[in-house]
Amino acid sequence: MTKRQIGFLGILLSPGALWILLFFLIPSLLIVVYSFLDRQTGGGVLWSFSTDAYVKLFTPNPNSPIINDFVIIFLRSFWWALLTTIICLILGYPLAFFIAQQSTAVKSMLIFLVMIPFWTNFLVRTYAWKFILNNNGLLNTLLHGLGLPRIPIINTPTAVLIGLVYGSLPFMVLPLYASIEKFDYTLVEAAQDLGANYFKVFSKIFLPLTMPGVVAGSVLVFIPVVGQYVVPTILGGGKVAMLGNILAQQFGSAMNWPFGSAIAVIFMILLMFGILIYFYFEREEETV
Amino acid sequence: MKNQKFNALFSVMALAAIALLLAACGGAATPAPAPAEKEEAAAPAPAEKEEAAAPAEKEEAAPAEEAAMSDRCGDKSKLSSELNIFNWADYMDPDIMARFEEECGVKVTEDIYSSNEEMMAKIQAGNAGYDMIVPSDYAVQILADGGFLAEIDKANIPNISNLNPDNMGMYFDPENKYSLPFQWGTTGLAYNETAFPDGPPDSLAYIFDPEKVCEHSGFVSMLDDERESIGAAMLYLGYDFNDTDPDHQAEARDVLLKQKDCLAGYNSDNFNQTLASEEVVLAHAWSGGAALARDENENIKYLIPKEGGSIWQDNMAIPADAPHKYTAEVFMNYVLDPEMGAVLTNYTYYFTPNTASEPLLDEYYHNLLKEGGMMVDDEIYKRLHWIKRDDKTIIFSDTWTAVKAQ
Amino acid sequence: MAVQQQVQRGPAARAQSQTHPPRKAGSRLLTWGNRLLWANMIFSFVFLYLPIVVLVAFSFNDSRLAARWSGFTLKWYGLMFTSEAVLTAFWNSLVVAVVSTVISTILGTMTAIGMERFRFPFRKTYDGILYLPVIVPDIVMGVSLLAFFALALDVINSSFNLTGDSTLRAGLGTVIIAHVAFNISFVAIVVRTSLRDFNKALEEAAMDLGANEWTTFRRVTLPLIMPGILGGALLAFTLSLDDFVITFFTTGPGATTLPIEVFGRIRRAIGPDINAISTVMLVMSIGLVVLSQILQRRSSN
Repeated sequence: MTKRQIGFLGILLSPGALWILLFFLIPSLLIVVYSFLDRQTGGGVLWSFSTDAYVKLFTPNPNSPIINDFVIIFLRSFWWALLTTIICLILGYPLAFFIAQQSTAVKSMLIFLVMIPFWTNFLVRTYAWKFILNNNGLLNTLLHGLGLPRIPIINTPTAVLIGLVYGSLPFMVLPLYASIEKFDYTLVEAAQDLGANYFKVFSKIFLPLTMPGVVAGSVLVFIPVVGQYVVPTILGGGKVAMLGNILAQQFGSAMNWPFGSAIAVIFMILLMFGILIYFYFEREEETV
Repeated sequence: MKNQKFNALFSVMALAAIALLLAACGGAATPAPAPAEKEEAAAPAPAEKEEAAAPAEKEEAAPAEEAAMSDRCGDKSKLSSELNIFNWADYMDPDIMARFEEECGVKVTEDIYSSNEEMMAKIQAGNAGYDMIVPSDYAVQILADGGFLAEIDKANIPNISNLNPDNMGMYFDPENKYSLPFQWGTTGLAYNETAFPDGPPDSLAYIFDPEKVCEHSGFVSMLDDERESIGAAMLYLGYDFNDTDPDHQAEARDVLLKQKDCLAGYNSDNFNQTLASEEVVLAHAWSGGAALARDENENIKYLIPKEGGSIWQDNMAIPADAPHKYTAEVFMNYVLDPEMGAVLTNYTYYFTPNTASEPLLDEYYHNLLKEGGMMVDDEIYKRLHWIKRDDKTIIFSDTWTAVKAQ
Repeated sequence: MAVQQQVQRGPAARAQSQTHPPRKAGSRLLTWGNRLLWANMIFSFVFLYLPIVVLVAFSFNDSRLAARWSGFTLKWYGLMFTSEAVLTAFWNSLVVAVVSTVISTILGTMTAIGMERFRFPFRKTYDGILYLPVIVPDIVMGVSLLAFFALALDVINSSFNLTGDSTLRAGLGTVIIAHVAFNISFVAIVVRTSLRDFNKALEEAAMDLGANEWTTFRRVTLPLIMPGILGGALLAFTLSLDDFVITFFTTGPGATTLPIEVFGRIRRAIGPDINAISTVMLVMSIGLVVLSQILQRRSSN
């Protein structure tokens, strides 16, 4: 790198890096510190070293060898987040592809139309779903009117999943669109000239080249879903908790900040680990 | 052609900018809410007189004539131009703030929170900038113990004499050094009369005995609150409402788990709406929410089950680092005025600690609460329990996690 | 424009075909594929707008209870325009969303370009750090920023001797700072997807033809990554507009936003006035998007 390039890189990166360091990284380190302190009965922390939070997190239930309530909730959150991500991919990939195919003007209009519902408050939208899925809500009224049996859907995992997919779909579509939009279709033609069928074109050319979008979209869907707490409460009737509910509980009514911090630290380590594995494989590919 | 893409980006901003403009226009065209609506509440003059007599004990430097003219504003020269209060949503009639501004020239800004813990986190962090907060019972204790509340100068609040002694000197602030009662309420069962033709569900068995709950399977809700729901299970089992014994907690957990399959869910946010729209017919509920439901659907009634229920009280307090302490005290005094007390309670549908305001309450409010079964008499009062928090009560959170994990 | 036209004749002019992908390569399979694409598109938009339609309908509902229809009314719109709390919150939300979107889009795009175009020590580490704001749960970020700002403001106030009404406090400024802090990462992630596998031949061609770095960036790179930037900006705007938890912990007196107002109200009822203001905002957004389309069509004709 020349001196000029280094200077240029510095100008590009330093404002963002400084901002993140100052207003994100330093405050976040505080959470790691909190997780090793004692809880204060009225919320907050006592400044004395303690591993209580981690001990509590890793102590199994009395009648089980490894599982405890927190592990169950972790697993459920990850499972639901995975399901949501897959459904969003199935719906979002063709949608992003369709949008990317349109003329420039239509394209940007469609992308806006995907986002606009999300400028309405999340809570308000989730309550709107409740009115649709209720026992005497829109869906069941419609079914009843058609002489079909009502289906109990509110307060079930299905309702939660609908709400989760709804809340995440645009976060899948945006990065997918950004990566499909610049796809070079001459590659498809070239491949077809060489006798590749549609399946091959998709799996060998289209999918690999739009992979950055798939990964970015999956990250933007998966992670916030794991931490969701509004949808399970409103559409799931609050019957089962996700990680977000437990975090909200620990920083809220339980007033156990060190424990909440410890859950967050473990959660972040797990996700970081996943992302680093992806980076590792991605870089390998890049050098080939 | 490329420019079109820029256009798209700019249109996001243009869009927002126009939205801002419209909002601003709307804001500018907004007159202060007219107090006309609640005027009738102000009509009975006798109470006003009563209150005028009260400030005898007031020791104020202000000239007598000014005091007579604006005694509801205290010493006007000492008032700040603004007052920031931090309160639960829909818990202060905007009318009260508008009239205070008009009478005393203090602009009141209200910000809202949805749990004591959220509010406490901000107050404990310091320098939050609020002059008055409305913590519940246990939150007063926690904040006062931590030194986060300022001692109230009672000389500035002559209207303290309007308060019911029953609401004063509670466990969380025995001498009312830091807090004055604002509103209070109970926790019990709200039900739809038409679903219980054989008589009201007057026992916790209706929510905890699997046979009885499952009769209304999918139409019963519990409060999504670790202390209220586990506490109710404790009462059902015959234990103390605040019991932290691990074996008893395990029993309570099992009771809650057995009930769970037949529940619609846990709901402490909008059970008033699900009751009113008949999505549920029986709900573990707060009295104010039950009253709101009855306001919309007159089949809704409320009771304290024979095993017992709980009681809570929200209080006005001043953070230790409040920028405008004197003005906050004057505002507290204003809220405790009989007329304003009535305006407040007619708005919240909870119970008032302000005895002097009771005769001024709407007839509608009285009827709603009386016929709805929300009123508390001495017999009911004996069955009510306070939620207490100490170092051991964290076990409630773990029991609740266990209930929610399955 | 000159550079651009030259580029089109350049070695990589083929890439320009991206805006109009060849459909002529069609066959039965492709028509089937197209039908499925249309079906998926229609289903997705119905799915996205169904609750919005419900919400708009209930903003005209006479009952305060949103769950039951009891007649048509416009009263909530009247109420909305006289409710100071709702209007202030709406205004605050827009200020925060617009300002934080502009700042984070600029910083995020710069970061994305720096990360994609340069190799430097600790690049991978920084890459990981960039993902952190996406990973950290809202409540954790909120609580940590609360403590951080309390401390920072304390230091500032005591070192500049600010007391009384001149005391520096949390408010819209701190909310914007916090929103930018998490949005930089979101923008950078989306913009990078459009920089990845980017056809560098175009940039090289422009440079060969004598354009300097800035001109090349402005005339070649920027237009090509614009969809990514637009996507990032939209994401940032949406996240900022809808954030409750982080906003709550970083805001101060008088700086309530719409989500805080809405969350506070669930105990009683999210009133139809909230539905009304959501509807107004929705109509304005859609109207503006359509308007910008019409204007664009006209200017291109």
